[in-house]
Amino acid sequence: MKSSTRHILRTARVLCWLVLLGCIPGCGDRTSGMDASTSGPQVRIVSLSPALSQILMDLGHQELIVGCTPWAPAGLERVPVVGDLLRPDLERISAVRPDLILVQPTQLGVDPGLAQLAAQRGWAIRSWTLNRLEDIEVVLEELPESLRVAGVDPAPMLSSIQQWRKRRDLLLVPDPKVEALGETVVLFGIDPPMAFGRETYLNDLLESLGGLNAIRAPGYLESSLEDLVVLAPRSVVILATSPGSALEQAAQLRTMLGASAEGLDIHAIDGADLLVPGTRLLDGVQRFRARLEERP
Amino acid sequence: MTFRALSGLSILVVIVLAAALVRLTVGRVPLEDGTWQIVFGIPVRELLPLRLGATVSALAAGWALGLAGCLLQVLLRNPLASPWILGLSSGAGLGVMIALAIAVLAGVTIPGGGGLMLPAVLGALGALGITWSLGRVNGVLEPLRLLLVGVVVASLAGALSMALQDLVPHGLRADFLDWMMGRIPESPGGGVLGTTLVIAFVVTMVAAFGADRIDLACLGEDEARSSGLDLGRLRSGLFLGAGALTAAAVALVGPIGFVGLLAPHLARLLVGPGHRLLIPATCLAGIAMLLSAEALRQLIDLGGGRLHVGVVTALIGGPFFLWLLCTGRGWTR
Repeated sequence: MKSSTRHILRTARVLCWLVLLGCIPGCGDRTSGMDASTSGPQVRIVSLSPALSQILMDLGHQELIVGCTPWAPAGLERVPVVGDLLRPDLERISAVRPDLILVQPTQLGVDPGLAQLAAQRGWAIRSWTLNRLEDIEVVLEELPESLRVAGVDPAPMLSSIQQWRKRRDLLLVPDPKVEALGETVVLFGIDPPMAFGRETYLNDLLESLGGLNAIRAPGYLESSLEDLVVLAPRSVVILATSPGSALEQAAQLRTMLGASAEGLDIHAIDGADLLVPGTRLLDGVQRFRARLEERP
Repeated sequence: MTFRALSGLSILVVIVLAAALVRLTVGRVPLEDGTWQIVFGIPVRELLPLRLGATVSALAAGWALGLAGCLLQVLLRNPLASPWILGLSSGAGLGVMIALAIAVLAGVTIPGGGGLMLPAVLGALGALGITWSLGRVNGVLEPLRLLLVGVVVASLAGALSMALQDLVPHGLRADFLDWMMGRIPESPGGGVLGTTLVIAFVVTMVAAFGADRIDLACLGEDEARSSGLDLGRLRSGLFLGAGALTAAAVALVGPIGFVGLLAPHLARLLVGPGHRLLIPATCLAGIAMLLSAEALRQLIDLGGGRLHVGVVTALIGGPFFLWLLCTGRGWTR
């Protein structure tokens, strides 16, 4: 065998070993070393819902989360990603050894594979829908109890919830500035216009502030520019994940509507907190009201 | 012009006018219970620009897609050829997905529907470039190789788009799927609409003037060469024309299927195989199909929103294509 061939084979062998070493847990990415530790929180929670993660964090139990979705709120960057609502990664979930899994189910319910595995391994699954404002209240009622059963002291949580409720009662009252908006369409996208209809948490928020949703159909609706013109709302509120994006979309909507936008009051709102049905909604409401106060 | 051709063209013109009339006069008004009622009538001043915008956009995109399909069926000598077979649609989709992923990773503003036009065109042109460079043998486009390269490019671009979907949140995945189903803009950007119309017009003129050469190319390679036809040049022209038409249409309305595939067959059924008449007839058939789909969409209300135009073209186009296939019409007569 020629020396060059031998050299190539040796190099290939070394590369193979390197690849094999790379497959050993702990040598790779953020998710690979997650089953290495034996110590950890008293209750190990996997949250497959960014909104439920947010609520848990706001209740002061961020440290219990051992697995989350790629779209978890800021603060969970070092927590392993274990899939998401639609595609839970069962292997990764097994690796973080959860006691409790929090799910915001889709129309199809909880993923059957996850439910089956949870039944086999003895993991508890708690699922809550978060379509309405009252659903958040249900989570705040039931989550402390779920954690108490798992051995977590609920007292600090109950105190946080009390404070949240007080703040809610102060903030969610009829506001003349919101009432002055008149019939309003709340959009979370403009091309095509995506609107919050009735029976959504944002409709509940708007109504509690004294506003009136121009959309009468329930749910999240894809409409058209023509629908917007026909509905003839007095105001349009555009929610986006950043102030820049909201302003940009407002300008774009005005351009697309052309002459029909005359007389239409378009509000661009930084809606990052309003687009997640969790406890941070109140921050979003506060920002929304402050934004309206700024306008003459 | 034969009676068959004249009546065929007349039928297409009538369909186009009827579809445009429906699109311009059908609207819907909200009812107290949250549902919408479909109404007919002359649109009020505020609605006319929106309905005209959608009508002209459907016209431009239908024209471009129909003609692109016709040119590709000649180029590939395959009645199943359509603008999507060369990977242009998947390339455009990949461009959009890359833009969305970059926007998320960089934490910048996600481009809205209008902002997706540029990445769509770049993706389509990228796929076009790859297919073009790999589909040639000795510097000449070879139909079978082009077809195979197109299929592979389409598959790769589709797979990459799926892979990139893991980098964006669910909401954006929904945006991507929404875009993939096509949508006729009510307020199209003047630049994109104008460009599509100009490209469609120029390619139509060039193709119409070269109709005799296209007919020769359809006879077969040996016959075409013995008649002195520069097949390599013709194929390059057909490919670039179809690519430009498709990229412009995708930028305007997103990837809408079946129009490019069916319009040439419908036109051939009505006016015959000669390209002097087939080219304008295909343009009209493409317009008729897309405008009819858009008009039909106005008449259907499923409650949560309107149907995607791509869904309508597929629901109508699929059975129609099967009928053509089973009866042998459209390409044998």
